[in-house]
Amino acid sequence: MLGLIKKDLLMMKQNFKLYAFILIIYLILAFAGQMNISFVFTFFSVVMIFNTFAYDAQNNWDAYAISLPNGRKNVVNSKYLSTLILMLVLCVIVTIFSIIISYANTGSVAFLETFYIMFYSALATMIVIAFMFPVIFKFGVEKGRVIIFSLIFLASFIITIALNVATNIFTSSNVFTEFISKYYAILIPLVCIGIFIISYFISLKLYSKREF
Amino acid sequence: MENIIEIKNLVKKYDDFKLGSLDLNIPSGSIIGLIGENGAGKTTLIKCILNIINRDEGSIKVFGKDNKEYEGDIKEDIGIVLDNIFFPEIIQVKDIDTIMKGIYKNWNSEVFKKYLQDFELPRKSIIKNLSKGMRKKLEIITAISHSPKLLILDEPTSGLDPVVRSEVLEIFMDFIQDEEHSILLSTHITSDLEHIADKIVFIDKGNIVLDKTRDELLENYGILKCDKDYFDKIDKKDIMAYKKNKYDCEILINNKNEIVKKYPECIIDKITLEELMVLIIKGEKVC
Repeated sequence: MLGLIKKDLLMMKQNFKLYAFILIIYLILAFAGQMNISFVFTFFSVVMIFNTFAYDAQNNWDAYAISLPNGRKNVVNSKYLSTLILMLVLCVIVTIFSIIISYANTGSVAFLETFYIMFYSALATMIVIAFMFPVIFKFGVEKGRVIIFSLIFLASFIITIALNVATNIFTSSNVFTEFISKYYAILIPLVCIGIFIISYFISLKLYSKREF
Repeated sequence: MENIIEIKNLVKKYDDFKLGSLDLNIPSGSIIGLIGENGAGKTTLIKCILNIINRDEGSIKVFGKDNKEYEGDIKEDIGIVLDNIFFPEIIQVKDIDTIMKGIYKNWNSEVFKKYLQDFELPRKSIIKNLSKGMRKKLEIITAISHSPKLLILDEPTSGLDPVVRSEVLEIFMDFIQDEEHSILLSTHITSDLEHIADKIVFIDKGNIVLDKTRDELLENYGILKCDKDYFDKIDKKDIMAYKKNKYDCEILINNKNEIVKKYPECIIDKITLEELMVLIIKGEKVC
């Protein structure tokens, strides 16, 4: 499996200059107040990992990878782990950038704020990945792309409605709002990580049946 | 001789194609040639063996173990070269070494690097920029650098020029020098097999129509040539398939020694695999 993770990272390295260039521009825009820093982080994580799937599809890599020892399991494991490694690296880069810029601007560093922003961005990214991966493992990157984009639009639509409905229902229920406001710091990460883990098992199941 | 692959009652169904039911034993220490038209089921069979596709029925044992249950163990000892299936194009040649070290327990970097040198493959080039011949050589040395016992090759020589093809076949001959090594090689370039294969398995429309050793084929099979009038005098049960030309007939026979005695006035030519394939697929049958 280590080999497959290395493969993903090596593929990203091949486009290093391009990624670095875009990342710097985005970060500059973000600190100029034109772009949301957590968006930059999520966007980069998702695009970079999605690109590895697209490159894999070029030479039918999946069929090759499956023919290697423990192929199917390793493909799924390595993609989830590559994602986490990528997120960690991006997290460090973006955090360092944030600290430098905020120090240059204000002379002080808002450590806690930066930490919160990165932490919640990472959770948001995990949610996007959690929905994206099973779709790709089931349908492949070509069909998957269409489904994922439709899902994102559909999800944002449903979430907006759900939030409205939920606010209407739960503002009257004090117990629920109290519970949420008390434990959200633990609840939100737990739910996100839970969804990420469930997504992994679904991917494993779907990919074990996939044919090439 | 032990069997390196044992396939029993294998069935794989698609909407428009069915492979099997199919039985096949591949003895260890030999080169098996899988021949057949494009779309006959060669690749489907290979993909079933490698679990790239799931079989619908039957069992497949490799090295005496079920190919699904012991997938991890089995694949440590298999090297693969598949048609249009390889590393992503953006990967550099030298990266394959880094990646494979983390995949095969027995991966040998020194061997891989030596092959790269021997075949003059540029280490820093990305796969996309390699010529077709270079890429095929890279695929083959990637397949043998973890000292596998079994090589599974799907169309390894198609689209290669004669020089590269002979180089490639030489690699296989080197590989098979070790008596424990076996090769399962699918191809529609049948001339490659005439010199190297120990056994020929012929697949047509998803079924095995012929499964013989090369010596058996060369000794017993032949083409009987006679004029059209004589055709009717030939015992129908001696005819496997035939083709009527403008003036004469070509008849595929499978018991050369008897036929020579039975029809002394006819000429019996040696058969090539290509002729055999064409006659079986396109030739007319008596019954």
